[in-house]
Amino acid sequence: MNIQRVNIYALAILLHIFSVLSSSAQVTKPIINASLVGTVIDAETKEPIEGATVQLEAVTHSVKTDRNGKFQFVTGQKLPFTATISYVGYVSQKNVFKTSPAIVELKPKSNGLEEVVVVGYGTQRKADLVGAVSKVDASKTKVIPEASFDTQLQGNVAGVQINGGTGIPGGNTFIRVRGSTSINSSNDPLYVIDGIFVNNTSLQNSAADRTTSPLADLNPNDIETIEVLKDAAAISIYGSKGANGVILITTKKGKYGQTAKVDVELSQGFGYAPKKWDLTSGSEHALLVEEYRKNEGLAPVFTAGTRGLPKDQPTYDRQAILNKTAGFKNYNVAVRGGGDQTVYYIAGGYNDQEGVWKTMGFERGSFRINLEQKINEKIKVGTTNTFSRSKREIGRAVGSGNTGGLYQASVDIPTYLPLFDESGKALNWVNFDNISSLVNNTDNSANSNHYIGSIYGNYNILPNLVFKTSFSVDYNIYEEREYWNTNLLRGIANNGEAIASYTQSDFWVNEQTLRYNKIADRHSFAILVGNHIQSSTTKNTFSRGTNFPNNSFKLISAAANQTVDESWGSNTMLSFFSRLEYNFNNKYFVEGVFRADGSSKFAKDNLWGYFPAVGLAWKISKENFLKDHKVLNNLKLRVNYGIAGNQSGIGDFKYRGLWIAGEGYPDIGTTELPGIKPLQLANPNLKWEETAQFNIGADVGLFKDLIALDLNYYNKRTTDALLEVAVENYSGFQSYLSNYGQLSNKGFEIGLNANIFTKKPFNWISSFNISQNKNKIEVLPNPMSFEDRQFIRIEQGYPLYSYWLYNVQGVDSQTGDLQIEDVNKDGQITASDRKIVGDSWPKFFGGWSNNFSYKGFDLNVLFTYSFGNNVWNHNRALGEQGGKLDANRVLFATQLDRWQKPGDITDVPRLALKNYDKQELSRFFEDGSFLRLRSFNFGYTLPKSLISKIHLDKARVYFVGTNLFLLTKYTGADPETRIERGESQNIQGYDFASPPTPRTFQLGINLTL
Amino acid sequence: MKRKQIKKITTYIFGIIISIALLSSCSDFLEIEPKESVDESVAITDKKSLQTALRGLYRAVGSNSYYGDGFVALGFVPSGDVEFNVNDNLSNFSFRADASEFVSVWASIYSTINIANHILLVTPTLTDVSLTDTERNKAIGEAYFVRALAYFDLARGWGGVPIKTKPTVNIKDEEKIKRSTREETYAFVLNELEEAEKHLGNDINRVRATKSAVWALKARLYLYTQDWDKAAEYATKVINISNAYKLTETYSGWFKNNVTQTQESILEIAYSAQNQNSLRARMTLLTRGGSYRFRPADAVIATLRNPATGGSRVDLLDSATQGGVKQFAGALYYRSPATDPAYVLRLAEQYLIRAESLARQEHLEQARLDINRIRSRANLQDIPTGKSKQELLDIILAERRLEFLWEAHRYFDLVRAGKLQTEVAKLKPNVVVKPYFNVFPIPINEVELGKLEQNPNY
Repeated sequence: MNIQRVNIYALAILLHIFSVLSSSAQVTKPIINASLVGTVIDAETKEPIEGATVQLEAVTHSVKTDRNGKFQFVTGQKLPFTATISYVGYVSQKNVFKTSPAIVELKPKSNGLEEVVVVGYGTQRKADLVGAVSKVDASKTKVIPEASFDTQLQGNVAGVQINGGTGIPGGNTFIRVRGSTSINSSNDPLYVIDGIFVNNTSLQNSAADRTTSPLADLNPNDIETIEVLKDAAAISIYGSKGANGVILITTKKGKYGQTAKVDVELSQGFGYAPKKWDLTSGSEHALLVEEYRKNEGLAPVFTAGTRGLPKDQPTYDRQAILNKTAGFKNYNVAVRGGGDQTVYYIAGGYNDQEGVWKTMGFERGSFRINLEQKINEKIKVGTTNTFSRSKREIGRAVGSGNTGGLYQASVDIPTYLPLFDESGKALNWVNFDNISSLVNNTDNSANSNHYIGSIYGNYNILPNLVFKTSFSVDYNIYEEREYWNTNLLRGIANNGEAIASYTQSDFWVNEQTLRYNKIADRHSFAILVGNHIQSSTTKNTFSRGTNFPNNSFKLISAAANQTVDESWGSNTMLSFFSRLEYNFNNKYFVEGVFRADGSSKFAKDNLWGYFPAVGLAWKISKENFLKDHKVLNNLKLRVNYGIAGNQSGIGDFKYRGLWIAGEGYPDIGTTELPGIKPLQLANPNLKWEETAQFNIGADVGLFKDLIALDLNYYNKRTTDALLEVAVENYSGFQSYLSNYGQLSNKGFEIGLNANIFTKKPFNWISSFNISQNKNKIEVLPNPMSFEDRQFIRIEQGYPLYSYWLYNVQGVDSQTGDLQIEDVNKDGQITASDRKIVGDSWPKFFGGWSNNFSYKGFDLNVLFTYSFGNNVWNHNRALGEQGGKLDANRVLFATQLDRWQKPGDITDVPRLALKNYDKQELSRFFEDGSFLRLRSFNFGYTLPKSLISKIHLDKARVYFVGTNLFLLTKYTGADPETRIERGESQNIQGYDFASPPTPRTFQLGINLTL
Repeated sequence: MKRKQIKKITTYIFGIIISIALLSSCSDFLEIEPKESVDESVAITDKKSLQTALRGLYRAVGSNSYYGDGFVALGFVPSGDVEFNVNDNLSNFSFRADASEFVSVWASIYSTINIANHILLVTPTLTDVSLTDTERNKAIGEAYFVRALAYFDLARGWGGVPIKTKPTVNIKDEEKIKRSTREETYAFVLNELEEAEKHLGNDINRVRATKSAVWALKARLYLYTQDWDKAAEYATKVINISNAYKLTETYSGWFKNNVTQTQESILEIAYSAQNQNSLRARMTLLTRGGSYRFRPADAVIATLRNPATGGSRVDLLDSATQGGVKQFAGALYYRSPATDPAYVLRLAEQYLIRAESLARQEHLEQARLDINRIRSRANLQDIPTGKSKQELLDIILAERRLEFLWEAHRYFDLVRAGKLQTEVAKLKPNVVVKPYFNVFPIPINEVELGKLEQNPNY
């Protein structure tokens, strides 16, 4: 049944492909009769406008202005001419030319409503949008020293929660568009670059705690605009892929009729970790340990004859060895332009970001070629290509098996223990590496060779019927290399260890779309149909060698023991989609979307998911009763509802019961022979997770759009949530993937844009956004916990990322003992007394951006904030163990606030085993609210009179400072740091061993030739 | 015009043909077979795949959370003799239903049982002609043995547990199982061992279950269930296979110098460069590349280093000095790569089982001889005659403490002797060992999800 319907779609599309091939082009030649020469300039700045279109009436012929704003017409008509002059961002106007040469002044549009917004498979005027779409100008954000463009968006888009700040360059980003809709399926938005679907899954294999972002391979300098699609009307055209929002990236392109322009951007700077962990000194540590031992009736250990008295203990600063001043370099050159038939953009860039911790860094070299060629008036073909080579230095914050962890080696070792013995030999303590050995011997890196590109063809079958076909590829070879020499614990364990891992991610998409639009009278229609075929394959070869002749041999070929592992996964998708747009009199808008997706991740009967959406918009300000209102000049109401699916992020073969090999064992003696065991439970009923979303919003313009408001309320409900459902362990399994439970996300977004001061020469534009998302697990028959200490729990009635802890009510000021809430009132504290004490969702979050300009000076100040979120301070939970671990764990300086005598008021209990036998305590779950000066960007554009002498079009020098200021009560290094682990999807708001967001300073220059 | 029309028609026809070709392959396009794994329906179908599954079964016994570390640590850490560096839930007796130490071991043992259940269900039905009756019986016997071992380890740790004998295929068909009592679980284990005994031949293989392993485990089961007669009987049966099983000459002879499958070994789990024993990393010192999680307590170090009390068992200790500080660690698991066997059944235990059973039955002189057999191997002086029954039992308990310092025994021995509280109090006066710590807590997820009855007071 379904296949049949799908067939009809596919057939229709295919027929059109072939009708395209069969058509031939027509060429017309103008008859020369008269000529018109003119210049188009900006009405306010009087600067020439390049690329403006001058369209003569009644003739198909049009020309574009050159870099000096000049245009020339040679036509069959005679003066006077009537022509329409238009340019993006300016009000189009009709002029009657009586003489030549002529000067045309174009007025800039007063606000962004006329601007064009990229939506799924097309563009729309912002004023006509039915869905909720936010647009970001990349030129503002690209200077923030983050490797990946999505992290740079932080604070700029209402409803989008971004947390990149792990201080690890090139690391992955936590990004949520309108909350989290899924528990085990992906919550990341879909990324589409110039129509190319890209894979944002980390390919890091060997150090799973260091997930990396493939999006960092893309040079932010090549990006023109970024659009974030948020509600059902906007995302439904992407069907199953859009459930978590869609981020559309448009890269820079040339313009027809534009002379070549060269942009050069150079910047350089440095950064450092603004905060370190506050630890006890050697003698403080010893005093606390002795106090604990005294309280427990144990013999002292810091005595004159052994380790020396507490007061004589030295202090060693290991963090000083770890931290460094990180250097940043960013160099970009781009050329763009175009002739009558061709447009091009060619760019190259180099970016180097060191980490604020040694052995971490990110380096990227990339180039891009975007090219479009008109074959004739009807057909054009084009290609976009970017190739990048990124090198990441993969120092680890937390080690696997406790070896190689930078945080642990620098913070977790008691400060009184020396780094070296008298002979200068490095000493190892607790179970962590020596930090000095670690930063000097770590040899871990990952190289990514990443190509993203497409070819496409556009055919205007009729003036308003356009066919487009495209084929795009996202191909990434991710190569990891590690060498652990015998100065490191892991190297000692294996007498040298090397790892070489090659991951190949091969992701291709083929799409066809056919778009028809018609304006008849006051009715305007547009219809779009299309299909989408995609395939994704990920392969990995993982080789490991141990037992090396010496530290100079680093290739696995030299190892005495060599092992190889291989993995392979693949999935495919087939989709058909359509969209119908209609508006009456530019006042009432209706949009309907339908998409069918088939995924290989489900069993035959559940392959297909169907995702419809419908949206309405009403421009109330166009009604008579509001026309020419003095205050309210624009008011548009938007309502829409739709369903999106989700299956990304789940395993390729999750519906099947599978057995896996690699479990070898000897039959007799020692020769290992192959073995197998069950891998996962079958679930033939596995099907699409669905999220229904309702959105109501309004666009408001006040005082001739001096103030613009963008308001949205949404309500999302996810049903058949894909979830690794815990099962009774006595079944032999711990979980299986199932459609289980329901989730909701409700929230609002307010975006406010105000032109506070517009009188020349001083200008101040302020943009403020605030969002709230309330996440809740609506239906979940059984609660489940995550992490080895089961800190995080999902339970019906509570949000995701809820913390399940012993609720500390305080410290008894008489006894100094910890008072834990006895939840089940049975008189004792057991695991049954744990409860959900809070979650990591902010009550509100957003950003506040201010643009000032005065003559040649410009200043952008961006604040980001989050209010009401909690952070699990795991570092402190491990650093406040009351002295019971003696020489085996550092004590944080906060431990000094412990209860000492009756009457002491403190929240740090008396040093005794019974007060420190648990770490799952609510006292380490802290308020993580913050206000941060995210970036401060000050620039000066040199006067034209000065630079034109040296043949420059534009020259701007600038300073950028980021993270210059942070206001928070959180006691850890940074409230935005978070755990870096492969399975981290359900573990958020968990601060463990992450370097803080660096404070950075950069100087740069931007030249246009 | 005409030409154009013809062209259009041909392209349309061409288009239809192509689209039919494409769509007929459309359902194929969405069907992908995994390459790393196979469907459960073809997992065990013939002789070869049966043997592959059996090897997977032993690998499961040796997995990280079972004999590869987790379970063994549950046996030797909560004893007062071992400090667990960093996470001290076990060494400081903070037994809680939410502690991962218990959760992962429980899950790991049951996933071992699930493989055994698969093998026991499928093996009798296999029609592969190349599978001989002996081979079929051996497979069945081995699976019975592993299931017996798994339920025995569950019962001695947690008391009575849910007994599951069918493999889990479709979770929706599964019914909830209640906990059996500890007696019922031990009775089940005995029954499993009887079945294993029936199916296994007399061959000697130290890395796979054999009839001798069945007897050795029976001896231990009877010891735990206080059937002294039977315990002595089965221990003797094993000891009497003297052509295959002998104590190594020196104490360290069964583990030092990278030896495996020594004559002392009745059953050990083998490891390889691909599948390594994770106890190694956790036991060894940092200077040897370990993570040094298990630190012997000062008292047991002193006992071992004193030749009069430690004898040659001092070889169980490793030490290194750095920065003027001498650190001690265990020396049982030390190899690189970590191919140290996990010792499941050793002949020395059979002597001590027999000694204990004999002493319980007042055969004091015979018991003394068995004890001295073990002591003299460890370079310790013989126990003189004239010791009372209780004195001998105390000596046996003390022998077992050192003989099996790094194997899964001490906690269970103390519980069995009713001395967990008193013995730990001697070593760690500040630690409170509550009486209900005699059994482990049922993991909290099993209580919430499986509605299993929790052990008292947890």
